[in-house]
Amino acid sequence: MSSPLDRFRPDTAWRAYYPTGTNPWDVRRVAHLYRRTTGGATWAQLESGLQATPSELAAALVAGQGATAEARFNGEMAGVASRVDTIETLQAYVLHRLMHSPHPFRERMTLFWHNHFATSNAKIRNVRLMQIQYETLHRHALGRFDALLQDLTFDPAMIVWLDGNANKAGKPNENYAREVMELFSLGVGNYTEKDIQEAARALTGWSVEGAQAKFNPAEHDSGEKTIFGQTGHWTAGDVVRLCLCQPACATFMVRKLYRFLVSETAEPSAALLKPLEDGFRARNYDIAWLAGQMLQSWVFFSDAAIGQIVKSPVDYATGVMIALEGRPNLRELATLGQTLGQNLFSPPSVKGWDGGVAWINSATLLRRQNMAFDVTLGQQGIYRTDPARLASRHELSSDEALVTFFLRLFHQQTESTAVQSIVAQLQAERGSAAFPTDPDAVALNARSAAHLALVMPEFQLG
Amino acid sequence: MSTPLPAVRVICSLVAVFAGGFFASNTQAAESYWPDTAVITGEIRQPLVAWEHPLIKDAWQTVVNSPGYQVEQSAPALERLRQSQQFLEKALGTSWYEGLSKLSAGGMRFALIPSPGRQPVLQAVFTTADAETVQKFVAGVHAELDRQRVANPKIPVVQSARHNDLTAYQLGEAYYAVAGRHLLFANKGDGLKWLIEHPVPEPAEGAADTEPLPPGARIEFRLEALRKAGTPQFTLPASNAGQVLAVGGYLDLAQRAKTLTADLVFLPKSIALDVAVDAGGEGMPAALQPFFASPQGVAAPLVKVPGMVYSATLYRDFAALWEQKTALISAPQIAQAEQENEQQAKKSGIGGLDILRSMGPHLRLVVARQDECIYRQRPAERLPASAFIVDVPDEAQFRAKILDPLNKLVRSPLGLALGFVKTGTYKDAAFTAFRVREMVEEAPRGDDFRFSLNPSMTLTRGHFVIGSTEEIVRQVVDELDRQSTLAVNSPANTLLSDRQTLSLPELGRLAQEFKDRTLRSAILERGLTVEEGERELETVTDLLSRLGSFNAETQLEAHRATFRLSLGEE
Repeated sequence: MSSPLDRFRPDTAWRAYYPTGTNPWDVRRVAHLYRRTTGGATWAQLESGLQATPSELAAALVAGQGATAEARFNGEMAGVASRVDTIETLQAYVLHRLMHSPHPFRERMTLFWHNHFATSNAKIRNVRLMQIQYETLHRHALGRFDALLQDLTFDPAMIVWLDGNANKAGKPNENYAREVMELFSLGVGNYTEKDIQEAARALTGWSVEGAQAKFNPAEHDSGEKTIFGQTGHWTAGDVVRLCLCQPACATFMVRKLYRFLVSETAEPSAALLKPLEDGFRARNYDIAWLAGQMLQSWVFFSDAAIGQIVKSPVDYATGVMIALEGRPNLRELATLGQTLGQNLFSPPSVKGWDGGVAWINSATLLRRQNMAFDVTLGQQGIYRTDPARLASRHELSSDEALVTFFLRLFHQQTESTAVQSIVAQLQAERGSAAFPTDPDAVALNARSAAHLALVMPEFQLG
Repeated sequence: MSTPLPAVRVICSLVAVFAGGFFASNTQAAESYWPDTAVITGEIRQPLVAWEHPLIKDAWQTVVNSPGYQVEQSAPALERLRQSQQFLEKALGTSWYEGLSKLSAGGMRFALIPSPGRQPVLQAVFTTADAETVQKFVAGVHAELDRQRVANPKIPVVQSARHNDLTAYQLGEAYYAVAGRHLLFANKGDGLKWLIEHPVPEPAEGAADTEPLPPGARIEFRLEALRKAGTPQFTLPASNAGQVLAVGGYLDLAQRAKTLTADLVFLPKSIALDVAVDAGGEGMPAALQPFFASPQGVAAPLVKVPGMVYSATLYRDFAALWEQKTALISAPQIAQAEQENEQQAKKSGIGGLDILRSMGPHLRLVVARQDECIYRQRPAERLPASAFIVDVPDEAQFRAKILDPLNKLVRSPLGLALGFVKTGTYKDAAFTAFRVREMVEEAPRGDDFRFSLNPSMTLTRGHFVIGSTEEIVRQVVDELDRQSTLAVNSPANTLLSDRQTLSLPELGRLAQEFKDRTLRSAILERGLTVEEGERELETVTDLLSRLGSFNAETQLEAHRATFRLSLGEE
């Protein structure tokens, strides 16, 4: 069975894309890049993105506005961060960072790692520990995966989550040992049960006191262990190192990041991903490098990737808000995300959220449509946005122009059939083909157009 | 979902603007104009002068420049306001402000008249600058309706008929007519007919308009007419002792009151709302007299300490009320209260009734920002300190019945588990203070409010003072000394029962203590960035400092009570 990736050669697939006649640099590709890096784009960002080259824009979005801007933002947010007292506040805090940070790609990557190292407050029941873990993920989000894995191994929330507290000499608990191999670094089939048992012994002695991880030598199994064929008096740090030394680690992580950043549908061959794996390994697991390679590549800007991810609830909600330049009540937005199936900091299991088509079922799709209605025609109080005001800035004097504007803004499906279909629906709702002139009717018309554009299936895809 | 017609919305907006406005110069004329059956009457004059009041203008300018206001620009309510402004400009051919000024030049009067078997009749007269203005406005409304009807044929056509040489219009339940420079309005046809048949009296030449009258608004409620038959009466002796002691005087006044008038008064640097309740010739039951001030005793002066946010003073002679108990409270209730008092006294050493009987009639409360911090762990947010002050007629008895048992309570095993007791003297006032025990390790987050507290009490200078900190108790002692050196001036006709003041500038400074919490709310719930949130907080602080203080006071005479709320400089 053929795949849209078949036409790519491993040695060229990940080179920087440049515009051609058949693959132009257009608003569709600009929006695609923004969706995968920041969650969405405003009209102004779409327009200015067209003026940059693909590599420039990709590099800028991956790098953010720079260390100074980030430091200033973090400083401003320090007061809010110190006042996170409930999980709902933490959720809202994270969404604020996603929407206002000078480096939104880092925030998105932090949520990626949150899903990768899925830890649930349902068991931890300690907001402080969840926040500490979030800050660790954030710090390493675009850093080195080896450092990230190391720090997460000693993260207090992780220790509690995977029963590190109960892992003692003579009574090893295999939970973390299994998950660090299966889910966090190597994937199924790249370790043995013996590796897990020996790794569990090496991980003994760690517990949590207050908000700190503590090592108690008396509870550590200091004997010899053999992991991945290597024997020594291994400790927790060695387990991490040994996992990272396995070739499967880079393979596993590259594939996982590919699914998040590039495509959920087009499954790449091992050969296609090998250049990325080699580079990732050679650069000591540099996440920013890996992400940058993917995001400026031919594969990324091809039809194999554009619109090939189902938006997560957070991406869906923030994407709408970003496009419509809204100022939402972030607590309400977080609650909405929960009803759509993504309760931040409470993933359903250690495997995280499955993502993809699992986000969409009859109930969640209905709720997404309800949000589209509320944002455009209903409860503007929560979202503080008005598509009519947005449209009024562009002097749109016909239904076609209005509909094209919103389609271009939301998902760039501006084929005449889509435009005409929505125009027909608008005019039927209005009961007239004549474009309204009354200010109330003009505003209602614009909101209806935005609503109809948002409820198209294409908007569920990122 | 149907939306109100824009023209009707404009009319309602005008009513709202007028209602927020001005004061009747000639209330006598207003009262005599309406039929005797009117239960609510009011008059508002030149609403836009209210808009020009320095306090309102200043506050509005501060608000519109705030980030929060800018973010709310897309709110539908503001959009409707903008549309109303555009409508006025188009209809009157001038700026919306000038147009509104002309429309409201002569003020507004209104009345609500009950109508058996149907909705009450609302009648209103809007007096504009001249006949041309009101005619243009009405023509503009009709033109707007015609224009909207093209897109929406469901909008009804305006009906018209002649009555007494005037054209009367009807649009749904709105009936209106133009009479000279007046726009007559009613929600019933017969209401409009009455207005047409009773021309609005014009002020005499050189009379009210030239007098230096304070602008404002007045609304009068004829309570006798409004009171429904079968409303439960407050009778004495009552079966609820707490109700009698807490609100008995007010309940009695409410059921005797014949009229209630509310006056909005615009003074040079403040705005006041005076509410007067006239109870006619019947006085209150003698047994209730200790509820309020009298020639024998009025509320003590407000206690003002550094950083004062709120201060209240109340005259309420609970001891004298309890002496009248057989006239006020039913015998079973009295017996129950005394039994409960005995049980409380056995358990804790102090009974509720014992406290009431030992207190004097002058009760005061003060809330202020804290300056000192006696704890090593200074919380990020500190609650304001508060102190309760009551005069004590018999210090020896109070000490024996109240103070000594209280001292015993704080030294109980539970008290000592939570902290420790300290005693001391300040300006010859012996005080007892309680300090929360500080643990070595960091206090858990969210538990910091304990270290805002350091309860303290003293019996001195004829007063019992109990406060949440030693600092405020010391400050109250200083204030009592200062007040004792001042001559007490009480005008013969001032019977002040209670008074409260809220210092808005100090409230703004207190809000800074909770800056992080406020900022968090602004960012996470109102969609502001950190920078916008900080500017918003500065705006709020600035606004509060401009508004001055918010005051409330009650004066009671035999047949009349006046409540005054005021905002601005005193």
